[in-house]
Amino acid sequence: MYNAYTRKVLVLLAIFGGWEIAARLADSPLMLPTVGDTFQALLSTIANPNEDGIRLYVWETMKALVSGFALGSVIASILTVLAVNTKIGEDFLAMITSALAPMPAVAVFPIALLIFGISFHSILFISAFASTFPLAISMYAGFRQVSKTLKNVGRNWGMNPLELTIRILIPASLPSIITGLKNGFGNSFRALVACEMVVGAATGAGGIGFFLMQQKQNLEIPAVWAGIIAIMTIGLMFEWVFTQIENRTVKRWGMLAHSQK
Amino acid sequence: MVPSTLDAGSPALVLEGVSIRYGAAAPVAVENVSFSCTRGERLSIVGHSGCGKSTVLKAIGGFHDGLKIDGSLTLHGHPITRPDPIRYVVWQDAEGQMLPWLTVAENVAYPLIYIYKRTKKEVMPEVQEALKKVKLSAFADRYPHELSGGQRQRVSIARALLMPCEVLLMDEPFSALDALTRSDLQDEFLDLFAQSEACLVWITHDLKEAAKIGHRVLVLDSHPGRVKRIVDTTSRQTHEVEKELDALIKEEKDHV
Repeated sequence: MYNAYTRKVLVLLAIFGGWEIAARLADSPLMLPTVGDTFQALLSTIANPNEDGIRLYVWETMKALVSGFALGSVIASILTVLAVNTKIGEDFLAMITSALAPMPAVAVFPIALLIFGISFHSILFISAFASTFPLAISMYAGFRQVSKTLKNVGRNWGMNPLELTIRILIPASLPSIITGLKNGFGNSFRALVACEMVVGAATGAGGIGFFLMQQKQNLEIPAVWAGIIAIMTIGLMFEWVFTQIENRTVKRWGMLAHSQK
Repeated sequence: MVPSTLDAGSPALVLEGVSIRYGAAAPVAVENVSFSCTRGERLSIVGHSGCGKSTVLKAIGGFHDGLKIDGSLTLHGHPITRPDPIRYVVWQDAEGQMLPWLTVAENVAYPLIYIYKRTKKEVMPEVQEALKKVKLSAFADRYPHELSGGQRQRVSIARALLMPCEVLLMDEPFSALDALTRSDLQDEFLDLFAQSEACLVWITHDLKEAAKIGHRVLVLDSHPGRVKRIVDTTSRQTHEVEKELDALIKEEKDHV
């Protein structure tokens, strides 16, 4: 009936419409500010170049997120390569993922604080920890699903296990790897914002999580909602990046079906 | 018609008393198989499903993991112990042997670039020529998922034809294709392979295909796979060889 973008805009308008009606009915700016007040707060905090503007907080979160996510991705790749090529590596990954993957990353935050103290490193640790296991699980599943024929083709061409991993297994597992990256990123982002709320500015300038807590304490409720919108926007932005990567790689190569809708 | 002459010469590929088990305690899958293949010779292997045709091919290919092999497998007197592009394999699974992230031309070029360290620029004229031979010039920039099963198998053939291999191993390459496409591809393959000096081992369950492709056809018995007979097809009509193979296969079926 409508194209995908029109449908998304309609859904967004419906959400904002419902929000505006609820805010007006509740008539309590401290509980639920109106859409107008929220966006006004968002624009003014974005425009604010000073230390209390949202830009600095977002930058701090991005720094921790990207570095932690990169570190988690490297660890996940090493664990997966070892698991695919060695029996002990396989057992290690199976055991460690079944024990640690279901655990919320914030649960190990006290341990991170004990090891690294209240510092950027503890935030980085949580970000890396949260992204490692979803990625390792997806990557390993992807490697295991690569057809035996394709592996044999690589071996027939004289590839050693490492070359086979780099030249065949990784590109052939790209759909699973991208899914793992998405899940790992989501996990990492959620854990990071939660931890920022706990340690706040003690780790540096404080991230977006700290911004939310600070605005709440100052009773700047529209700014709290503005922070939530900023978090959603960052999430959507990364989702868009992953979708673009998918469209230009695995979907183009027929490794992942295009949406029929 | 099958070719009238064989390339005379000393055997390149030699199997002597080869017995294969899937693990030390497993029953024998292939027993005491001996045959040889000279340069430029085409050898078909036929037999019932599960008779060990593909197991023999895996052993020649050097894919020995999980196999317990007794006897001797040699190429030019050197024991076969591991996979090597000198013994190039075309697998049954046409889709599975394509690299989906590369175009058709890149798929054909890849082993030449990877194994022989040649540049893309250097190999592309040969690749285009090979694609022309297998009638896929127009598909050079497509991705494997955009091709039909027959076209994908043509890509595998183009890739195999460019490989300077000593032994070309074909594992039921056309089995998933319809009869018409299969027959076309058999003819095309024979035309293209005519200039090759490689020794060809062609696994199939299609007796007509075995008779048409092979200078000789090795018939394997089942459980365990033993050499029942090696049928010479030179200077004989395909249908005549097919009839003989059919009788040999039925003989075994009746015996079982």
